[in-house]
Amino acid sequence: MTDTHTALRRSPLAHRSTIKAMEHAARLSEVPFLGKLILRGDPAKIAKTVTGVAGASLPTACRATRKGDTAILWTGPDEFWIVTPDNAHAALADKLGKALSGIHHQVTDVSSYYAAIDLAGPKARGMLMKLTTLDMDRSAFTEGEVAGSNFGAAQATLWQTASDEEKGGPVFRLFVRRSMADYLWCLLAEAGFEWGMPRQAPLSGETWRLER
Amino acid sequence: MTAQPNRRASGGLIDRSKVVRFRFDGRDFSGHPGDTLASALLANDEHMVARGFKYHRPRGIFGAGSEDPTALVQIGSDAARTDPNTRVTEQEIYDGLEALAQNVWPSLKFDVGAVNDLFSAFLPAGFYYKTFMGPLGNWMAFEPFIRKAAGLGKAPGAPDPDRYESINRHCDVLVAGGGPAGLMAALTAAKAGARVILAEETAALGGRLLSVDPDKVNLGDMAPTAWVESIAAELAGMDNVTVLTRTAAFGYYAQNFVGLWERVSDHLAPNDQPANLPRQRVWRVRAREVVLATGAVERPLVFHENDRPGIMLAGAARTFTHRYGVLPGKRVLVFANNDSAWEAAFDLQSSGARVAGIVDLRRDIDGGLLSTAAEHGISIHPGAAIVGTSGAQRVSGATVRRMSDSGGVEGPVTAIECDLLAVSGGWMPNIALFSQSRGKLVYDEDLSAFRPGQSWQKERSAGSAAATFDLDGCLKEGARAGADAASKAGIPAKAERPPKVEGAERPQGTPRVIPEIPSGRPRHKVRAWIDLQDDVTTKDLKLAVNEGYDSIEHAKRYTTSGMGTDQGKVANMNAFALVADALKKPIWQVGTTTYRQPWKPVTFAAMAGQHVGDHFHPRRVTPMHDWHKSNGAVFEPVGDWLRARAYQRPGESFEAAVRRESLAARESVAALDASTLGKIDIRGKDARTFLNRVYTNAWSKLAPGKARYGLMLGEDGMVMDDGVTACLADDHFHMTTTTGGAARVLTHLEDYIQTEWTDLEVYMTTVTEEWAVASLSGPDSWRVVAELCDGIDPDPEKFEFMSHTTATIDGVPVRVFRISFTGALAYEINIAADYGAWLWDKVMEAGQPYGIQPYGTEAMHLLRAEKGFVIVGQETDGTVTPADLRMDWIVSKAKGDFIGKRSLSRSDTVRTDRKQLVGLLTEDPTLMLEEGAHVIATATEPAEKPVPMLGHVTSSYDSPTIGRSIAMAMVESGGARMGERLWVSRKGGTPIPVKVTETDFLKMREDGDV
Repeated sequence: MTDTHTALRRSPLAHRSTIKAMEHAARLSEVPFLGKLILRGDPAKIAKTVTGVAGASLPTACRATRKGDTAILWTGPDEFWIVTPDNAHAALADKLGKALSGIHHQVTDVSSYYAAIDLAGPKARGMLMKLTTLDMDRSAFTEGEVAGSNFGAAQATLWQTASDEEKGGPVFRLFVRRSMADYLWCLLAEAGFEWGMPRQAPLSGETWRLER
Repeated sequence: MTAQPNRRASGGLIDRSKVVRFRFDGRDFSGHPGDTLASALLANDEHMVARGFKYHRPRGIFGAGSEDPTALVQIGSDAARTDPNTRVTEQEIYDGLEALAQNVWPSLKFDVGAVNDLFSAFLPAGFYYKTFMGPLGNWMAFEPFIRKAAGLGKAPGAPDPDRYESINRHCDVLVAGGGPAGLMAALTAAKAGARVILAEETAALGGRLLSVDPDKVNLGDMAPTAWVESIAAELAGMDNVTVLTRTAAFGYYAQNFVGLWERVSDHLAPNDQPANLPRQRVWRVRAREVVLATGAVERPLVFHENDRPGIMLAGAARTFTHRYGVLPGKRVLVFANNDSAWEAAFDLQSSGARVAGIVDLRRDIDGGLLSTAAEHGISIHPGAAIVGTSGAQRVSGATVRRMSDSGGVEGPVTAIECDLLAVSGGWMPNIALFSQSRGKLVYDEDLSAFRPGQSWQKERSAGSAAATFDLDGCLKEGARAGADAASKAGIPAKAERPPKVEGAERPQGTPRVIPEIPSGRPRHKVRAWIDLQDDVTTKDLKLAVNEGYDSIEHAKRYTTSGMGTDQGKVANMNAFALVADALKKPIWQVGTTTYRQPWKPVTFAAMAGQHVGDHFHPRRVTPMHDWHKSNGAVFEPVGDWLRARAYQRPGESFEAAVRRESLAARESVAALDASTLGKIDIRGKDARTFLNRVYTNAWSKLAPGKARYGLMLGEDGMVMDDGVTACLADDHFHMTTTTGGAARVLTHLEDYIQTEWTDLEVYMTTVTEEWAVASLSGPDSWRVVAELCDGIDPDPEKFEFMSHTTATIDGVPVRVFRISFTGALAYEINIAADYGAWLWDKVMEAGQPYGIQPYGTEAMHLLRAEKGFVIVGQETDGTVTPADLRMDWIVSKAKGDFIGKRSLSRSDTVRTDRKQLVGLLTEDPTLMLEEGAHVIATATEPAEKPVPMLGHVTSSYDSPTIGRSIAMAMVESGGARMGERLWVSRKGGTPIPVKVTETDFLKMREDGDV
């Protein structure tokens, strides 16, 4: 696809812009238009081929691996996410499909399905603790860790992309259904209110008709 | 403004350099920072703060912390922020605090409800039960009065403006309670490197150490408060430790999940509350190991007339004296059954009170105590009991008699004046959390109380919570518990060495418990309170036992003993003892009532946390949502989705909009946002076999490029979902589900693949929101598709019904399906959701020459009903088989097994007189039936109730295309009733006559049947 096409797109959080807490305590931003593939298959049977095509090796449970711009996230015993830069996923999906032909697998493009939200900064852990029952202590959730859980009422996949030691770190990336992205965005902002993050009101203003 | 006559010159965690002004019961008072409402009121010599629940008798401050049963007030008069049932012993004061007496009218000191006390004989145990069970008229007559009188305090009358939060934490060791044992446990575990959370219910760490005379007790050469501060400072310096004060561990749940309730800013004036912090927080802690250092609760004595203000637990009196620098009485009479109360007497005497005497139920008193009493010049009454008290709104004296060998009282009556009656029935380990954790209780004969026995979860009790009452023992046991907890959590730890204790006092020894202390006075003239909050006396519990409520759980509910906001923290043990005595059973046989969460009332707001208002629940919207919003859409919720129900033009009614939209979908072209439909990508060589097993119809022969409608059943044979599934390749399918059923269907299918059919090679991945969907309906729909899409000829002559293909719009790939939910010519365009909004604009633009209309879910419902298509969840309700829908054609007889197949041949599902789906046409075409209305067999409703019901209306619309009202209904033997005349009942009118028809109204119109 060409650049003219990309101008026709609208990311799930296009109506939001990056917000920050005080003194670099936390930063919330959308990462629009990442390529996202869900790969299903028996790791024992597909690992070699996938590494050959995607570069990165298949991660072990609850971890992510990276090679260049491409990351592979473990999301289940036979389920992986492959995250790529914008527009790189379609070709990769084709290549994977061809390379894995004959082996039971499934490659599904979910690039439009999920919004990606980056939450960064020293208070990011404190904010996440307000939304999820995962152990967000720095000793328990480390760089390269991946977990699926509920964040408030939204299901999401959480991935720590940068360590606590890194400047501006730690950085967490959340993948959430696009229809729930605005809900999660606002809930995250609310969690950061303690550290000066501006509150965000969910989109609303619809006219309702409930009577039958 | 009164001075603080009972304020001591020094001591306590009080900042005397600052004055705090507050109001209580319409009067102004002053106190100091560090005071609770209770200590400040006592400093001002105010003991009476409330009136009893049932009899409205004066109630005073009985305890010093969360155990207090009755000193409850309403905080604040602002309708939104007012807080009922706040314990004065827990509420810290701040400038401008306003507390109101509750359960009083017109005032605390003069209260009309107090007449209840005169009629106490008419308010016996089980009053409600008896009223319920009596003649019906009784309840009717009493109810308004009971409702008015019931409950304490007033609920807020406006939405809560404050913020609340919940936060999840994991830790290696959670320590509940910040007294000597808890501090040693936390210190030990923390020093070993464990992640530690220490939760202390009150505003300060220290526990009972704050209630002892700092001039007498030393810990490692430090005064108790200095030692506490040193430990607190050490803990604060470690980043693996979280110390929470004003935080109660309120609930111990499964798998070491413990709820903590932190009152972040309740102790601050509204203007001083940090704007960035919530008012309260709930900490949801998952702990590897727990140390319960929850201390002990002092037990009241059950004697006659034991309920006057100024009668206080002896330990509470010491807490007020030392922790808050307030002497709660000047002339103190002590009533005891154990040694610790003697220490309390000596302590109060050295702190400036005059002890008017010690009355002890025991005859044999330790020689050391006797000589100390003599040194202090305190008169003593061993082997004696208090047999009565005096004083209207504050105790003014008590009468004492000698106990006889036969268990009664004898000899002369001695009257003793006092302004404080300090009582102590011994200390009971606070076992609430332990018991919530399912730990087994053990009855300790020496203690006459229960203590923790065998653990169920990963916890251990330490200190007085474990019946270790001496200070040295508490410190050591705390350190050991901390080491044990950390080690079991995988962090090897050695118990920290506790400080050397000097001047510690003697523990309680063996208390002498008498279930109801005799007075020798006529039974009908005196009462002994067991539960001060619920106004339960010994008479009530005995009556309950006499009436057969001999299970302690039944006796509790019959009398309300141990209920209410305090759940009987100080009352329960006495209730158990009394019931055991009445039943002549050992107390361990009677047992305890169940200790349930929460330990104390937690606000609903804190439980809801941040998930309220704007953040209550996700509102799911499609990529086209903004367009709908700005084009007159009125929305309805469908699951969590917001869907456009109709697009109203300015001045247009909803009904008119639906008519216009539905006519466009029949006669020209109209577009529906169908993005919310569930979508599942299915892949694998066994995909067809899989579909054959999950749908009722056959899928073996569906060719790539084709699509088919399917019904999915539950194992019970009932319709659970439906949708169209398209074959993308031999081993690759695109399934759609209903909007509301998307998640349920995927779970159902994954369940089968993962647990039942592990041999099938099939993978499924949800793609619901990957695709935005525009559904075009109407004779011109193909022209719009032709205009829009490249690489496709949508001419209905060439692009067959139930087929699909790929195409592009301006180079953007799309999938186009020729499927219809309206019965009209229709196409669905699927595009990657990022392009959804753009697609919708393109559709509207391309459709403009054909007068395209957007249509909403209401028109969609109408259109499908015109064709007789069912909606799962509207025609069906989980009790409907395909045959009931008269859709037998979709159930394959030829193929193998499928989910629900067996259930379709059960004797009940093959009955021919089941309710079946039919059409209903009213004889008067302008009349519209009400959805849900009953279908009956007679023109008038028979007088005899209930009226026999044949079925009910499931869908009903005014159809502009058919030119009349149409309806569908589930009717008994409906399939065999074609042409029959039935009636549909309605409210406030005679039943409406209807004709039973088939459901495809469009076909009927074509055939001229309608």
